[in-house]
Amino acid sequence: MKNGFLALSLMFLTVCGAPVFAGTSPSTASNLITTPHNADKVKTNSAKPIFYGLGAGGITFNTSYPEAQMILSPRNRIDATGIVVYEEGLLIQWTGAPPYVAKYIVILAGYQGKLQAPNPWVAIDQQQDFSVNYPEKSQASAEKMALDFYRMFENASADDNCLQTGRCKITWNANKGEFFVIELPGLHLQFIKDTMVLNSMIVINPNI
Amino acid sequence: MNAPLFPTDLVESLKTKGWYASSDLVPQTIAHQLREQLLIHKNQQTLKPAQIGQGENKKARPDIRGDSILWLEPEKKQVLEDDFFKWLTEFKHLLNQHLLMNLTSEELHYALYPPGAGYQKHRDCFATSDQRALSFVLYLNNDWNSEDMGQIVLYNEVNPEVVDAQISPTFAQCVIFLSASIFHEVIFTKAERISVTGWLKKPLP
Repeated sequence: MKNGFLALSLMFLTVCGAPVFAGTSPSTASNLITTPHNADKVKTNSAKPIFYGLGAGGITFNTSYPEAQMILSPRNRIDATGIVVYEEGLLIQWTGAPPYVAKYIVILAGYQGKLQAPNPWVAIDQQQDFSVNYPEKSQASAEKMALDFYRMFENASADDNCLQTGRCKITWNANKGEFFVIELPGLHLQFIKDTMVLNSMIVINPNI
Repeated sequence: MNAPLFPTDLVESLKTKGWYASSDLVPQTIAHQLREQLLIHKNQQTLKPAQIGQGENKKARPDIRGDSILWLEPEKKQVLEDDFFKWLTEFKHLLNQHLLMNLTSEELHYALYPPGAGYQKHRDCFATSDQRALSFVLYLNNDWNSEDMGQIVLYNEVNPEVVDAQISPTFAQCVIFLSASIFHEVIFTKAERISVTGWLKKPLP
């Protein structure tokens, strides 16, 4: 994995002619990017929609790492962890081997774009309250939500049970933790147990 | 015990960015000792859900933070915490020498995030008190990998709308930042995530 990132770093060096650091310490000055803050670019990108299993911020899971470094506003060069954080409010894990595409995209606080959902659903806000749709704050309700979301995003039939087939998963933590997580092939969603409010999103590359 | 290594770039990093991170700051042996002690507490089920706020305003807010904690108390310190407190005393002394910060005390706790937990974007300083000068996090997770997530994200000191850095919670990784000015958040974790977290404090004005 580390050799992969070293190769990727060297490729980026070739493409951009910029010094690249392949270490892991985030405090190392040479690993940080000090490009002046471009407020317009950041604002535009951070308002772009989030697509289930496809991407966010104007990049997709087909966008290569060097391309993304140009489109977005990176704060650090890639290192052995393969993780880069962007001013737009995105954290991206890159693959360690060609074609160097994103494995997952974390949507951070401040990202303005909404998750696009198929009709009849409307775009889903980062802090959307789902208690209207799922008033019972229980594991059973969370499981129903997982099934509904899977069927919606994966265009599956009404009798599909992704929890049984293993295509989706719930982390509920019955006796500890105040959050629950729904994992779908293209999206991981974190909710607050006692309010059913969406708290955080991670877009997943379903092909990796 | 030897004096702690005081990295030359620590002072510059705190002055220019408001934060510093390194996996070489705290000796590995100390991180191992603290990890072992935390796991003892976990087995004894002595960690409790964290609260936010101060005094009468203190309350559990799972929508903001989702960890369980146990305070480290110097007067009741365990054998496995002895080296850490010695190291911390020397480290604070060096910080005071180099940064003229007048750090006189600390509040520290073990923190355990269960899978699914995170911590929304926030600052560590209470509105009614500026005693908390530096926030301190030492991660104790063995074999952490990027699929486990749980990274801490630091926001720019000058423009807190802008992301400045992310740091993975790998074993012995230490993050220090200005409590009053650095906003940060913890991405929800996929694996149990443990640390020693707290604040180096100034005296009351």
